[in-house]
Amino acid sequence: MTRAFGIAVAATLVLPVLALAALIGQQEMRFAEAQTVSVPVRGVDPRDLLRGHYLTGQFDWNWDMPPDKDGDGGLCVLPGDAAHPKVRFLDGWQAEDRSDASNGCRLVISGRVQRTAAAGPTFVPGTLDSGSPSVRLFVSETRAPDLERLIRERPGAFTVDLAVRRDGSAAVRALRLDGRILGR
Amino acid sequence: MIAEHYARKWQAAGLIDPPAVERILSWEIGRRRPVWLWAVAGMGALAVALGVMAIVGANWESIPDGVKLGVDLGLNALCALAVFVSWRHGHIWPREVAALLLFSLVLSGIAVIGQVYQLQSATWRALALWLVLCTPFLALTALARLTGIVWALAAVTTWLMAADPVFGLMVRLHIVAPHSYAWDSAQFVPLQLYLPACGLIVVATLRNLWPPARHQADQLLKLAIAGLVVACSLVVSFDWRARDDGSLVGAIVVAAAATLIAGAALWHRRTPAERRLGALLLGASFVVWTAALLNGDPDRPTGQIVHALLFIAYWAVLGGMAARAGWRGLFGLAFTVIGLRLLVLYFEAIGGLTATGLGLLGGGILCLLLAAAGWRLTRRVPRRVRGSAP
Repeated sequence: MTRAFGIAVAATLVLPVLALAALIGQQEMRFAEAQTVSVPVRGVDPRDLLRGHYLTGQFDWNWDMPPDKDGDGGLCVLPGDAAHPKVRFLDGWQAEDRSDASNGCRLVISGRVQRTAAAGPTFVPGTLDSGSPSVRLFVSETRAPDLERLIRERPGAFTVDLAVRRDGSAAVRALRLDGRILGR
Repeated sequence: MIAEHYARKWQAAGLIDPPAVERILSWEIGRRRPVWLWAVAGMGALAVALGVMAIVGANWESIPDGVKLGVDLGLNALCALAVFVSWRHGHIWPREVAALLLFSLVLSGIAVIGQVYQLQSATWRALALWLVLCTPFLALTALARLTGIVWALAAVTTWLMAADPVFGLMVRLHIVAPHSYAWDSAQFVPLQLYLPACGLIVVATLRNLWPPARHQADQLLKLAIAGLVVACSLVVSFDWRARDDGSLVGAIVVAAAATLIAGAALWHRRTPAERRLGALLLGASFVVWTAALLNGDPDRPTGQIVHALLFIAYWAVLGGMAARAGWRGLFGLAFTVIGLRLLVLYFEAIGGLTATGLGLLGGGILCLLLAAAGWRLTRRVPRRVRGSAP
């Protein structure tokens, strides 16, 4: 057994531990120097009964002007202290875009618009896009049934804090129920 | 106790003399282990582990995210250290157990990070990351057959979970026709079953290049061959083709390329007899897979019978191969499977109560005849000496 082989074995064993630590670090970096915007989540049908503790919902954006087509771009969150700020879609917006289009926005989230027959247009941030217009949010087993009922019966009570960086990337910073933090 | 039972039985049959019986029994007594005590201890350890998991699960929401992540990272690091120490000291079973534990802990780590940070990526991405992180240390430190099987099952699961992106790629490359869902495509599903078996043959051959991992490589090869037989049997058991599936050329070309690559891998460092068997198995599998796909026309009433005949022909080839190689178990299995398929064919072909009764009679007699023929033929198959080449 050579020394080089021993080093190789040690390296392969360190790799998963370092990678997990790096993954945590990467997520924490997303929160650094990020602005927060709170977005209500509405329930969607059919809910996914096979997802266990995951609550399936869609972001309920307060459109200033609803987009009329699907596509990639940015979501301009307009200034204002309202709990449910107005948003506008910037078609084709990219992080390095310095055009006038993003002037006047409090922040811009990179992602894409998908229109659904049932719920109209919805915007999914690129970093949270799994190919579907919905997002899956992990909640505790005990609260899941109540929360699922709540997002249908009391729209706006359940919100998600999104941490948005200057490059338009967004991460879930917290889940809130009536303004109180649920997790993280 | 079992050894004593057989030793006395063989003594009564005059196969071994009394001194030999005594030597066998004293040797068995010397190797006796407290299996029941181990079983009770194992159940106790399992109960404790499940209890800890249940308590942690019940209070999961109350545990701060930082603690969850910190404990998970710490457990991963400790387990990695345990693998390294047991590997250095040549402790085989502690090393294998710790490696399997680390394999599962890394997956749990990815899951916990996904929960804490509400990550939205598809499941296959998490599984692929898991394999990328764990395959290197498993390749170097875990040499047991069981570890190889667990890794292969994880790899196949990841492949199946990645159906949508693989299907999208195949559509872009014009290998399969576009559909709303991957599972709607009658070209994609047979490919999805066939390709991992060929891939696993290549993995087993690569693993066989490293002498300490040869036993694991043999196990992986057996698993791959079993997977290939199951894939072809499934493809030939159902009508896959839909009216809007278009040309089958792309799927058949990809399957042919995979078969050739697997064949080239099987050719490497094998005896002429093994090469002939490998070529026969791969050739028959590819021909049956392709024929099943080409025959899968839902508008043709004879399609079902042709499928059944293909299935029987495939298993007859497998049985013949097993007879040549001296694999009595596989030979018996082939006979049983053919008998069951014939019985099913009877039921598929008939209708009405009288006809069902006649079908049962005919199918039953057929099975009895097959069993008799199988009994005679099995006795003629030479028994393979363990460890010898086929």
